[in-house]
Formats: sequence, C-alpha cells, structure tokens
Amino acid sequence: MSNIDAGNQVSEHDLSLIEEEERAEKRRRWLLLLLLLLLALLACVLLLFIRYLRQPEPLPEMIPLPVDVNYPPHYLFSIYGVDKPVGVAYSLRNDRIYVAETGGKRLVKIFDRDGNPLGSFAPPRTMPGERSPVYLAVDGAGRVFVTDRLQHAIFVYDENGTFLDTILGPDLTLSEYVLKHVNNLRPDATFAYNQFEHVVYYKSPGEPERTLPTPEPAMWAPLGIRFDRTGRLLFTDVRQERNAVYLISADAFSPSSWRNFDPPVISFGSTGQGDGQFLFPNSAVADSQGRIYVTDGNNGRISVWDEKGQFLFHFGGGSGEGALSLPRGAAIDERDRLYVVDAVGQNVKVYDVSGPEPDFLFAFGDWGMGDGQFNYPNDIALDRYGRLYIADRENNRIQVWSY
Amino acid sequence: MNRSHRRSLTISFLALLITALFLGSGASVARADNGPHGDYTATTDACAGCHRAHTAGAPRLLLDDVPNLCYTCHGSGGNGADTNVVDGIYLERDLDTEDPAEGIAGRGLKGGGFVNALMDTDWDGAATSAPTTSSHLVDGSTGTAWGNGDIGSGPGAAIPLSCTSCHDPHGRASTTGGPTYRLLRAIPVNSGATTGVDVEDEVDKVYTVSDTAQKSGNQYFGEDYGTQGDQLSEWCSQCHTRYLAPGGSGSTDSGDPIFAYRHLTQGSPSCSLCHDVHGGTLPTGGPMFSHDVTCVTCHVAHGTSASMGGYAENVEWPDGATDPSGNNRSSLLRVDNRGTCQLCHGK
Repeated sequence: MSNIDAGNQVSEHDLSLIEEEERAEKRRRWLLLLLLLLLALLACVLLLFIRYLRQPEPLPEMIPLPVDVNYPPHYLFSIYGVDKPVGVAYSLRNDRIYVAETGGKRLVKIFDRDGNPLGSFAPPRTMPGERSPVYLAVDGAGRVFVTDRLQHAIFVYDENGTFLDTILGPDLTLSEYVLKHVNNLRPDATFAYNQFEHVVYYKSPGEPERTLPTPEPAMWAPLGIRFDRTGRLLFTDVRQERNAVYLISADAFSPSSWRNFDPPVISFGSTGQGDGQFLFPNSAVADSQGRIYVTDGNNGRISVWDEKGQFLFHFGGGSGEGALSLPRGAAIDERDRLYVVDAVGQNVKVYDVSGPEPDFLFAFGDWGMGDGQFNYPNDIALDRYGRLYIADRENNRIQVWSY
Repeated sequence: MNRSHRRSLTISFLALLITALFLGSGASVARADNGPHGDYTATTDACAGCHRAHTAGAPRLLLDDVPNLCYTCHGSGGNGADTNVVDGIYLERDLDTEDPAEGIAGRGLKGGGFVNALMDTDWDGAATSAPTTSSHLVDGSTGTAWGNGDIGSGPGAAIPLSCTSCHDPHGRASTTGGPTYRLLRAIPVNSGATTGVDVEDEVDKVYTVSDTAQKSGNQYFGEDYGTQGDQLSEWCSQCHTRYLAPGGSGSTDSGDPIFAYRHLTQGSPSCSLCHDVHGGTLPTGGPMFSHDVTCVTCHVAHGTSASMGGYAENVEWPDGATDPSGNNRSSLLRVDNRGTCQLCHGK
C-alpha cells in the first residue's frame, strides 16, 4: 500500500514537472512571437522614418478610411511671397503649386510642395495694370491654363511658364488667328496679344517683329477654370448677357488642335437668380459620377448639373449649417468630398456629394491672421498626398492644410 | 452649441431681419443698384455676406475692414462685379444686350482707379494703364481733408476715410431714402456736414468715360456730368468745405488766410471769359465742353495716373508743406501737369 502510495507520489511530481516545462515552453514561444512582432514593428517604424527623412510629407494611410469617417484637416504651414493671391492649382505631373496674384506685379508664381519658389510668369507684352490672372488649371501634360479678367482670355503656358498660346474665345486661339492672316508662318514663330494695345505681335526667328490688328473680341468673360478627371476643360463665363458654364472635350487640347481650334462645346446656365441661373459663377468641378458643381458666387449657393448640362438642384443657400455666404473656388477629392471656399464666410466648407443628396460634413478655418485663419480666402487645390492649398488673399499667403 | 446659444442666435437673426425689413420698407422708390447693394427681400441672406451679428471683426458689424471687403468683388479679378475699381477699368463685355451700354469693356471708369488707372493723361490719344500717382486713401487711415471746416479754421480737419465713408453699400442713401448716384451717402461719414446733399441717380448708368468728337475714350477731361455736375461739387464740398466756390470767387477774397481766392467749382464762369461780347471768335486753345465748371471737371474721385513736372510737381500743399512732391502732387487731376487749365483756357 505504501509502495503504491510512493509510486503515485513520484508520478505526480513528474507530471507537475512536465506541465511546468510545457508552460515555460509555451511562454518562451509567446515571448519569441512578441519579440518578432516588435522587431517587425520597429522595422516598419524605421522604414517610415527613413522615408520621412527623404520626403517630409504626411504619411500614407496604412489602412484606407471608410467613406463615412470624415474629419477636418489640420493646418501645416503657409507659403509666403505672394501678393493678394486669388487662384491656386496643383500639377499632378510634377507636384508643383501654381498661384495667381492680383497684387504687386500680378504674376503666376510656381512653388514646390514645400513652398520653395521655382519661378514666375505673366502674359508676354503686358504691364501689371493690364493683366489680372484669376483662376488656374493644370492639364495632364502639365500645361497651365490661366484665366485673365482684364485681357478677356485664357493664357496657356508650359509647366515652366513658357508662353504657348492664348484662347481668345470658345473657338479661336491666338496661333490660329495669326496663321489665318500670315502666309508661311514658321512653326517656331512667336506671338503675343495685349487687348489694351489693340495689337497682335508675331515674330519669326531672324526677322523683325510684325503686328496685326486684334481680332474682334469674343463675347465671353472666362473666370473659373478646372480640368475634370477625364481631361475635359470646365470654365465659367461671367458676361452679363449669359452667365454660363462651358465644357470643352479633352481632344481640343492636343498639340495639333491649337491652330484649328473649333471644339465641340457644351454650355449651360443663364444670368439670374432662379433655378439653372448664375450670378458670377466662380468655379465648376465634376464628381466621379460626372455631376457638375458650380459655385454660384453672388447667389451664395452651389448649383448642381448632370453631365449633359441639365440642371438638377442647388444647395448651400439661405442660413443654417453649411450655408454659404460668397462661394468662390472649389475642388473635389477622390471620395467625392466637395471643398468650397467661402470668401466672406472666411472658411472652407466641405460636403459629401457621393450620394444622391449633398451632405454637409464640416467647415474649417475662421477669420484672422494667425495660422489656420483666413482673410478673404478665394481658391483651393488638392494634391495626391492629402494636402490642401488655399489662396488666403488678404493675408498674402497660400495656406497648406493636411489630413 | 447649447440651447441658450441657439436662442440668442435666433433672436439676433430676427433682430437683423426686422432691421432689414424696416430699412427696406422706408421708400417705394426704385432700388439704387442690384446685387448685394439694396433691394433686399424679407428672407434675404445678403446681410450675412458682409456682416456678423456677434462675431464681427470691424465696426458696423462688418466682417472685416473695407476696402478688403469691397475688393472681394470689385478687385482686379472682377470675381463678383464688372467695375474693377483697383485698376479703374470696366470689365463687362456685352454691348449688344445693354441698351444703353453701362460702359465699354476695357475702358476707364469715370472715377479712375485706386491702384492703377487707365487714362490718357498726356492727351496723345492713346491710353496706358499706369500706377496711380494720387488717390483718395480708402484704407481707413486718417488724412487731411483739405479745406474741411469753416473760414479761418486752418488747412482742414484730419478724418479717416474708407469706401463706406462716401458710398452706402445698402443703397437708398439720399436724405429721403431714395437712390443716389453711385450709392453716394447724403452726408459723407466724418465730414462734419449736417444737412446732406443728394446726387441724383442716373436713369441709365454709364460707368466709363465717354468717346466724343472732342476726345477719344480714356481721355478724362471734358466729361459731361449733366445735372449731377453741380450736385457733385456740393457733395464733395461737404468734406472739402472751402473749395466750393461760385463764379467770381477768383477775384473775391473769401476771408480765409489759406483759401482766399478760389477757382470756381460751381456754376458757369463769366460769359466774357470765353465769348467776345462784340462778336469775336471763340477761344481756340482747347475744348470747352460744358458751361458748368465743377469739381469733377478737373478731378477724378478715386485716383489718377497723371504725372507732374516742373512747377506742378512742386506746388506746396495747403498747409505749406512741400513734401511729398513730384507725381504725388497730381491731386486727382485728369491731365498731366496743369493740362486741365490749358484745355479750358487755351492760353
């Protein structure tokens, strides 16, 4: 009996030893796994740190956020060295920022994403008081299109600001006009236009400069300008007879088209305060479904149209949350969030337009001169890294915000 | 936002609404202008365009000081208006649908510009846009209103000036609540005037300088202001009190040590100044476009790009100061140097 008891005691002791060893082994495995996880995490952090050192920008989203999670961006920094900027555009091609000034020399200035100046440009043969760049758009090729309210034209430059051509009306470019009047014009001839001098200049290399009378002014007053995701050009026309939005197909801007510019144009809208009417439309942008949102400036609302130019509805007027005072520049991101700069509201209002009805999400910014405060903001551009660039006119800067 | 905040906001909004209704029901006359300048409806949201009931950043519950607010629409970008007062240029391009046209696209505004002005000041038939050499400073800063005050009260009182000192953005600014020319207030703010002057609104508004047989477009001298001319002289002299001078003031001592003998700014000069009563020929030196001589015969309201040289650039200011001199001494004149004298007198 006692032997049996002693044998039982040994086996229980052995069993407890074995169990303890198993537990210790399990603990070691867990610790090893934890160590490996920590090492992996450390490697990730190191990689992100090295990436940040090489390219100091907001980090990419590791996990895509669901669409229904929306939060305001935060202020990053400001780009100074601009005089009363009213227009801003971003180039997907080279990550450059283009800014239109209405003060000082009234130049279009180029910056990199960190705010370093890269250059400036203006319509050739114009004095500051004869030009007024307002809004800009950059196409897929990096060309910069600038509306000019004083010259009643859209000037086109390459990505470095070299003048390329001028769109003088919905169906006329400057190069086309010169070609019609000058035989055997060399392809490398240069030309310029200044409506205040009532003259068109052209010059072939090695020859003296010559002039032509300016063409009959087109009945238009281009103001807001944007390219949509398909490369179509959208611009607003603020002439009194017919405030309208124009859409020009992407093919119109191939290099061969400039000298035979007669693209099919869709236009819609009229002047007034009713449905389908505008008072100084300042911007037109398209969402992923092709719907077009027009900032109807002096009517204080957003006007919505389908891709064929049929009026749908408007929103943002009146009072209450999300109501607009003086909507100006606008942009739309890949999640169909519509950003509208409210010039006298002194903020940017953001709406979710992915559904059938727009939904006001939030506004950011308020009046002032401090960081993140606006003093008559007028335009906005978005980049592909989640940054927002806002033309802060009376603070003489471009504010950079980020998610 | 809690309930009490919401209640306060609602009460404030209603108060603003009632005020707007009260102001809007005062007269049954035609509105002075359109857009945000009058003609408000009972449910207008125009108030919020420029004012904040509780969070205003500037006096009069304005969101911000003028002229920044005004330039948001009337700036060189023309984002909300065709009258670009920064460059003094009319931007509209729709002559075929305006009858009569409110202005010629690309031509100078009658008042000139605050930063640049498109004027043919050297009278050569070609206009150029150039930085202004003198302008009314409308940034709210204080300056001397030359001649402001009674006889013998010195060179003039110092008063602050902004766009809204002269213009009432709500329209219906006359002494009886009626429309006025260019939304001019009956009494300029801080002028010290008490009675008020109504400058009749134009039936057909024309914002740009005219192109006539005597002058090309953008030549500013010789504009005919019609019935508004004399009214404008009276209106300007609410600030520049001692500049209001009827015919004969050039030879009559006013009693003021500074503004003793003054060129007429109201009414017609003596007939014999130009006409030979015995049947001689008319003066040939320059165009005499109107029998009335007013402030705006020689000066623009906003700013000029006229340049000065020789004697003209060194004329001392009414307080005896000699600085600033040069082009700054252009005194809102419509022609370089003293061309405004010669174009009338033809000496």
